[in-house]
Amino acid sequence: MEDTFFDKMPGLQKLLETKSFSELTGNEKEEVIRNMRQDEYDACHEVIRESKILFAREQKTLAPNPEILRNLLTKMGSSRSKQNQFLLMLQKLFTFRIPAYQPAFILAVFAVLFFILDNRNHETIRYLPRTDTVYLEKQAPASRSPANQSVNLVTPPAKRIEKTTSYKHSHSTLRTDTTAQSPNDQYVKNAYQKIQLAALLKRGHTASDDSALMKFLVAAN
Amino acid sequence: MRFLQNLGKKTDEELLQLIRDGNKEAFSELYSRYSIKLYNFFLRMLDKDHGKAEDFTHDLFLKIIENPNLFDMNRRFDTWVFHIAYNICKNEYRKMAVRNEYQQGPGKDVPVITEAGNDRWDVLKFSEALDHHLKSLDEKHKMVFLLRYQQEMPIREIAEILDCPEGTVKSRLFTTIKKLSEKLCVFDPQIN
Repeated sequence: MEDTFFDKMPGLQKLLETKSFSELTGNEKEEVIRNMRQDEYDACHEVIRESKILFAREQKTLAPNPEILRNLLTKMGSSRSKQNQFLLMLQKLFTFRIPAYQPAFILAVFAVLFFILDNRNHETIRYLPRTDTVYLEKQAPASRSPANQSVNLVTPPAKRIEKTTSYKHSHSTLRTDTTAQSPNDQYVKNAYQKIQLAALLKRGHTASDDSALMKFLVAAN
Repeated sequence: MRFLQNLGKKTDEELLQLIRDGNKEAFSELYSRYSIKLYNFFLRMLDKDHGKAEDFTHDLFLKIIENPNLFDMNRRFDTWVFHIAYNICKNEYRKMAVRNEYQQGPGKDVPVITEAGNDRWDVLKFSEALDHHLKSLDEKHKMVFLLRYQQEMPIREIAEILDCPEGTVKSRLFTTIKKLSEKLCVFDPQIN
């Protein structure tokens, strides 16, 4: 006989547990005889029967010491009082059972939200208009005819003009408060300034004259 | 008294829920249902050592008191509690195996059934012989036999307790019955 005998004959276990060989029907006997001897069957049946009787008797007669229950009940009371109510609440919270699909759904929602919000929060690059300073080294060309030009000896020649970049045409931002002068005018002007300077130096000058002189010199150069 | 009667109608799982809330009556009811079963189970599993059987019964119920949340409400209570009992026995077997390696004492004489009563077996002698031969089996075979015929559990539940397929339980059961029948010499039809 093999260990898988009960698998070969599924009803055998039930027969062994309930009937002796003599109590079996004709068909059952044939089935049993095909797999095991009669004495083997009876021996197995007897072991089961006697064991069941023995165990049933023991269950009625053998009982644990009643002191165990008293001890356990005392411990139950003490363990309950020891446990902090807050800890019990925490325990209940962490052992609270919910279906698995719920946290999975919440996680999925958070994941989707994260990607959506992440795309929105991308840094936008702004191109701000930046002010550049352009120094004009060259004089603006004279727009008037020499006849119309008046020689202004007081007004210094055209200075370096700060110009801001903008969408307007560059000429529009050019400061035109000074009268445009031809190179010859400038020469006359410089000469005049030098004469003035010499006069100042002859007369004896003051601190304010010095600053005026410096301004002239800068303008002249 | 009326309250206790109501508790008697409650299922094991419902009682455990009440134990979680600190209901002592519920614990007493659960204890009355399982203490004798577990005590007898430990007795047979641990070679009739009454002291150990009482200790382990106490420890198991103490676990229920201290950690009732360990119980999975989707399982049956009896399979869960016997699964714990089985684990306790396995640990004890391991300890005993280590002890036996160092203390090789003289073995007990094998009780031999020589006489049979006129109508029935001498129950005491059968009990001794059964104890002795169960002892020679490994704990898995012994466990299957006891769960089936002492606790009268169905094969499916035994498989759940031992975490193995039903086929394995059946084959272990048949092996155990066969070995015991050979050793207990009860296959002689003249005995009956």
